[in-house]
Amino acid sequence: MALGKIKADTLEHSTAGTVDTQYVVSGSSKAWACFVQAASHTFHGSLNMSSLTDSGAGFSVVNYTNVFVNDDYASPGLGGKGGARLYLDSVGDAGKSASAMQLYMANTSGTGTDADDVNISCLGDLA
Amino acid sequence: MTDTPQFQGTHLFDRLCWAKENLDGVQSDYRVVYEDSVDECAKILVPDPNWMACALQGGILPPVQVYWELAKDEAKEGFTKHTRGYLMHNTKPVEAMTEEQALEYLIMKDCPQHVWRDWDSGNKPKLVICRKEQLPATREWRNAWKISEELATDETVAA
Repeated sequence: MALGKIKADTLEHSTAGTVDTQYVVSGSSKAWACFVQAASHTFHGSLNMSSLTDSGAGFSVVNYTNVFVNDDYASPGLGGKGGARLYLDSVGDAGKSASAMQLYMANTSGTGTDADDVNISCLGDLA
Repeated sequence: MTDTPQFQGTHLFDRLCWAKENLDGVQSDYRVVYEDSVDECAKILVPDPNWMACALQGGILPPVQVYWELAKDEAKEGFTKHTRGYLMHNTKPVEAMTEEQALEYLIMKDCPQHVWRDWDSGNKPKLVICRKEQLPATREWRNAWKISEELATDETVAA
C-alpha cells in the first residue's frame, strides 16, 4: 500500500505519561452511520457500511462492508424526531450478527416510528 | 480520477478509510425492493454512498463470494468467531463496476440468498430494482407495502 506509515506501540506525552496504541486501535469506532428513516431512508454519513435496509416503519438494518469478528460488539446509538419522543431498540441479540444489525425506532407506546435522525457507532473487533 | 493503490493484502477497513478520504460518496438513485416473507412488508435496500464510490472506483472491495464463505462460517453450529477474515483482505479485489453491476453485487451480499437465488419462481417477482422515484411518495401504510401483483416474472420486469 503506497501510503505513509508510522509504527508505534506506545505514544508518550511530555508530562502526562504514555498510552499503548492498542488502546486507540481497540477503542476506535469500526463502523458508524447517521441516517434518516422518514421519507427517504438514506445515509447522511457513514463508515464501513454497505447498505441500509428499510424494513418497515421505524425498522432498519445496517449492513457492514468489513464484518466484525462476531456479534459481540457494542453499538451505542440515539435517534429522534422533532415533536415526538422516540427510543432506539436493538431488537435483541437475534437482530445482530457479525455482518448486520437491526434497529427499531419506536414511540413511547412501542409503535414503530420513522425517525428524522438515527446515529449509531459500533465498537469491537473486526474480522 | 484518483488511482487506487494496490490493495490486495491490505486490511479491508484500511481500504475503506482510504476511500472515505479520497473518494466522493455517490448517492444512488436505485433501490432494491424485496420480499423475504409473505407475512412481512416489502423491504427496501439502499446502497451506502461510500460503498458505491468504492464499487465504482474498483480495486477496493473483495469478491462477493468472500461474504458467502463468511456467512457459511457464521451459520455453523457452535460458531464463536470468524477465523477466515483474511479472505476479505487477501483475496484479489474486484475491478471497477458500473452502478448496475454494483447493485447486483449488493443484492448478492445484503439480501437473503433465498430471495435472490429464485427471485422469479413465484407468481410475482420477490425482488425488483427500481428508481427511488418509483417508490410511494410518502411512507403512509409503510408496514403494508408489497411488490405489485401486476409485475410478471418475465423479461418485462426490467422494462
